[in-house]
Amino acid sequence: MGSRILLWLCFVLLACFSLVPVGFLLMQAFVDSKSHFVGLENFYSYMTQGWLLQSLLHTLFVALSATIISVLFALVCAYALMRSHIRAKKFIYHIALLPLFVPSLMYGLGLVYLLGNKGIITTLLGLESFSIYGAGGIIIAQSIYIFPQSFLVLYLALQNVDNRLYEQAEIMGISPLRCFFSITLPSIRFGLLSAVMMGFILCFTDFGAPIVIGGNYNVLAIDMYKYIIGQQNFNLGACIALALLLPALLAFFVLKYAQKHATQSAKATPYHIKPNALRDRICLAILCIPLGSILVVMGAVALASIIKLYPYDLSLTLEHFGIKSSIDGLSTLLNSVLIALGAAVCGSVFSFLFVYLSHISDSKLSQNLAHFFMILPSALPGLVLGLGYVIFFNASEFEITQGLYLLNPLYVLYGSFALMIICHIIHYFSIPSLSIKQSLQRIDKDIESVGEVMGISRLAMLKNVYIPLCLPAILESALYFFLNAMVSISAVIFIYTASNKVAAITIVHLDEKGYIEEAAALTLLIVAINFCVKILFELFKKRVLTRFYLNTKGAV
Amino acid sequence: MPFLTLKNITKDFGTHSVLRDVSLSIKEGEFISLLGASGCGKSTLLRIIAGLESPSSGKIFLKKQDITSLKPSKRSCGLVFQSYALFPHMSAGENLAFPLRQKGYSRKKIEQIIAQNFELVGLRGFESKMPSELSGGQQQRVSLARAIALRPKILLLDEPLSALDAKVRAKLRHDIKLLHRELGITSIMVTHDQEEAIMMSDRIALLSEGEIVQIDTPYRIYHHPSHLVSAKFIGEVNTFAYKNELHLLRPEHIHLKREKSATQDSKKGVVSDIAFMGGFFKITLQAESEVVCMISTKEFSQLEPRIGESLQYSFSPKHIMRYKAKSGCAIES
Repeated sequence: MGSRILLWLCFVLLACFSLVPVGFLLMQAFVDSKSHFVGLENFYSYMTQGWLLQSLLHTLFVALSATIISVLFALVCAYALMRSHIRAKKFIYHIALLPLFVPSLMYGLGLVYLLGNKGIITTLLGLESFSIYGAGGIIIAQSIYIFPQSFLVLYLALQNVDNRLYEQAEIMGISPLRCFFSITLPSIRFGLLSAVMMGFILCFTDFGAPIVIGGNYNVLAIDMYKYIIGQQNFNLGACIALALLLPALLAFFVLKYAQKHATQSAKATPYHIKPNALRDRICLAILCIPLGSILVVMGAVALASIIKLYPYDLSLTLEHFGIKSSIDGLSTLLNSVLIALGAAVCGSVFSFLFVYLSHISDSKLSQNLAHFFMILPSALPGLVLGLGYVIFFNASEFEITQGLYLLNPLYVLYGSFALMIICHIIHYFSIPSLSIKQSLQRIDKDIESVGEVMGISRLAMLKNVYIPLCLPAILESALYFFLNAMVSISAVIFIYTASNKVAAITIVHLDEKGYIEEAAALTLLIVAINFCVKILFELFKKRVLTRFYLNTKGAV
Repeated sequence: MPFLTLKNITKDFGTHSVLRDVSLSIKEGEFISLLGASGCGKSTLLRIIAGLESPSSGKIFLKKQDITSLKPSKRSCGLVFQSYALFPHMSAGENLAFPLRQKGYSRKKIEQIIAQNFELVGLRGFESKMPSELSGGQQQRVSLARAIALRPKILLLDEPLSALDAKVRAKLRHDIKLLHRELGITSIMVTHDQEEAIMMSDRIALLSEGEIVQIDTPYRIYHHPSHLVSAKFIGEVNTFAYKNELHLLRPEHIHLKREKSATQDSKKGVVSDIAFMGGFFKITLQAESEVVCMISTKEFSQLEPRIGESLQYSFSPKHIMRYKAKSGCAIES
């Protein structure tokens, strides 16, 4: 009984911090600044400025281009690792995943430092008329940004192709090229679809790359930012949010469909790689393009942070790391760490409790509702969530009818660390909660029955059985919340105030003011913190959990 | 007076009815098997006895006490699952200690109970092993030790041997039987394995499509099946249609002869298959219908049948089991 009340309390909390603000935001698209219903007038005025359609087309163009480029390279990369005899596979694998720990605007920064007006390559080659700002820059930056995600999906998809199919084909005398098109591609088609949709959603709603390198090339995310921050026009902002949300939602449903079909073969025999020097060389050559780009762009950011002022003063210095050009200095980095820690601790604890409560509930309604709240955040672009937050939590009261006001009790959260932490938890809620759900489902159902029959209380079962068995998933969730909270910009760009500003926002501001070196230095500091945390986590996991993993091997 | 009584138990999941009007009474110390094909409702019945599911209608009595709505923990049942259901992150001993500690037993008492029960299931010295370090059979023994640790009034076994390989299964089958004899705990076992049920049970309750078809001793069920369903479920049978009756015969009751020694009541059939079964041979003949018979190795070497040749088969009328073709009910002779 108590557990049911707690579960519904969780539902109310989740609704308050996801459905309600976003619903409230979408309502704003249909009212004017005095909250009078105006139908589609906001859309009309946005259209007549000629921007909505253009921005939408621009956004679609860059998102699709970046996705296609990234997925193609990711496919070659995954193929090379799974199906060829190239060397240093482990090294390549880790390089490919490197962009996961990095704020998305780092690639923009790196590209600007290399190819911007006074960039290293631009000045070296004397390309006066060349400009990286615009569609080209965004596409390159975004294709690096989504590369690790696409790569991981395709890597797993290739791993699931059963080698027995190839052995059959070989016996029947089918050529390797035909095999690729009639076995490999069809087998990974849902993986490919997943990678494309996932990449498209990330690019379509991305804020980091266009803000740094977009120049005057208007995309939806930047339009939205300008209307909200520049003009305080929340109604038009809400219109753009809707334009951002709908295609992302569409892609999201396709993604869910693809994911549902992607994990079919459970017991595939591993692929047997035959020697073929030509194939290996081609793979390696193509592989160098994405991996080289990742390393060069990251290297450029590192250079930017230690060279005094390129191209005028090439002496090395650490003074950029002081972040003196921003009045916040390094204090926002401390805020970032505190908020990320808060998100990690509260996020993982809340995720576990919520998933556990829904797991032990025997009501179909509760379980479906719980699943909905687990999935929902992954369908919401960060910018949309953030805008919903600022509109909803920054209102001290709502006018219901003329003269009748409803006090907003959640207004107290505005400007606090708590709201930033909550925003991160909701924004990144899907993956941790789903992985905890999976680890709970892996626990033998009969264990629950044994507990019931032997009279072990729910609480004792939770403390002695469920928490220990889900500990690996809970810890992984905490790490996931931390790493993402450190680098996330889109969700919090609208809701930060002077008292809870984070480092990722400071990077945006430094870059806007032209202090690219300090922006680079701050980015590197974030990356360094994330790496340290990740390494500490792995060490911790090895020491504490290895024994645990060994003990539960095969039994869970 | 019966120890455990189930009265008109019905269980519906939505519109699907899993158990229909099941009544059963069990004597104290009895070993009963609930035998049936998968999906016949036998596991649901066990879960209802344990209190893990509540029946849609019907009542359960322990002696005279109505326990239908009693919590599982108050029913004094021990539970053993096919999946062992051990706590995977606790040592074998800890698997017993954890629930006992929750019941408030002292450390000394717990140690004593662990020692005693590990001795009983033949796992002395394995207390500190983790489940993943134990074989399937050993894990099931731990599970058994845990189930009997508190000396429950009823021991419930849900397909306890199904996940084990043949040799381990036979050994554990024997040991469970011994344990039952030693402790005298009333036991109910769910199984789909007829051989297991025949060898272990005092009585078998045969379930089909949510109903009990027959409850009887294994011997009676094998030799006097009250219904076509039980006759066909347990052991092999040959079926002959005769007017509006069905005549069933066990393979071991059919005799084979060479054609030259044919008699009046023997019939002709052509050998279509010969299978060596270890202790005996199974011969399949094609006659009006297919006839299966079992002969000993000794008979086989005298007869030397070959595939494709004709043989005479015969049986004594006293071995015929007669059923109504329509209802499947036995016709008493």
